Amino acid sequence: MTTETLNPEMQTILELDRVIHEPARLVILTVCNSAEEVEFKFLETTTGLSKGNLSSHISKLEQAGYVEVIKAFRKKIPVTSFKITNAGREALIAYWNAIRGSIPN
Amino acid sequence: MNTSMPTAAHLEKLQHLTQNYGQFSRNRAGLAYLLLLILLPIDFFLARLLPLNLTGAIFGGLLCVVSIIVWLVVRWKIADNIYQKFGVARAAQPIFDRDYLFGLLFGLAIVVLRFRFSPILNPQVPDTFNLVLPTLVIVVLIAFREYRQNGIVLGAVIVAVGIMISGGINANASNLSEAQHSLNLVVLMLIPIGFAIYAILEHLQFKSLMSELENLKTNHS
Repeated sequence: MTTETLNPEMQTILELDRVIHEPARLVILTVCNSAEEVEFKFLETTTGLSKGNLSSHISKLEQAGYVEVIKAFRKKIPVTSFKITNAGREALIAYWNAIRGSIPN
Repeated sequence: MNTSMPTAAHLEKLQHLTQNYGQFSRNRAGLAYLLLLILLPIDFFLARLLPLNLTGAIFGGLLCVVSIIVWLVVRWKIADNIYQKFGVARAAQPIFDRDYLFGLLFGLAIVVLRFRFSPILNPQVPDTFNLVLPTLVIVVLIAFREYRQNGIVLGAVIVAVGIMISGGINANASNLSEAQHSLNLVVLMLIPIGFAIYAILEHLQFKSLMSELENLKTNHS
């Protein structure tokens, strides 16, 4: 079955951004979108993901250009923060619009 | 976190939680305002002990500066404690940096209270030193902040209002009646009462936010 034969709603679902569609990444991006900058620790608390899992999802979001990673030091302790990029914000909005558009009334 | 798709309600809750946390941790959970309530009377009574001359005015000014520094350091310590527990989430768009404004109001309140209780007509003490100059400094600070955050129009409006207030204070310094003084005092007392109410409400909200975050943490582990 090709996508050309599908109805528009189905096509929208198939064209969803897979980077964002993954549940953990959707949560991470939503949290990042709600603040100017969030620290790794805050994401750990809110998402409940393990450090390794969180790092791997963040890497994927960074590769897609959706989040910016900021490394700094606080009292000589390294602190990693994340900032959603404009591309990330636009992608998240587009994702939500696509999802809303494909939900039956 | 389980791997099932988060619901819209769950995401909305997270969004709300993050926004509130960013805002509250910026305001230091209302505790910074409670500190103001402690510092305000201490400063006031210390200021009253100062001699009514130029040296007294200079030490009064120093007292204001030291109080603000103490306040800033304690605020920073409070924030640090909160951040150590949950990490930092900076608020996306601080509509109004209330901490800054409250700090300046605090400074202004000290200046005005000192004015109320000091016979500044003493010719040895220039009015500008006692009142108008610190008021103008505070106004310029507010204006600069507003200019940086909200543009030149608001900055200019604040400068204009500040100049009017300073001029008014200077002009009326010599002819305030006792009734006017008492009214001033009542109005000024509303400032700490306002601080107290605000601080308590802010702190209660922050407490519930913290327990929500704790619950989230417990549910995940």
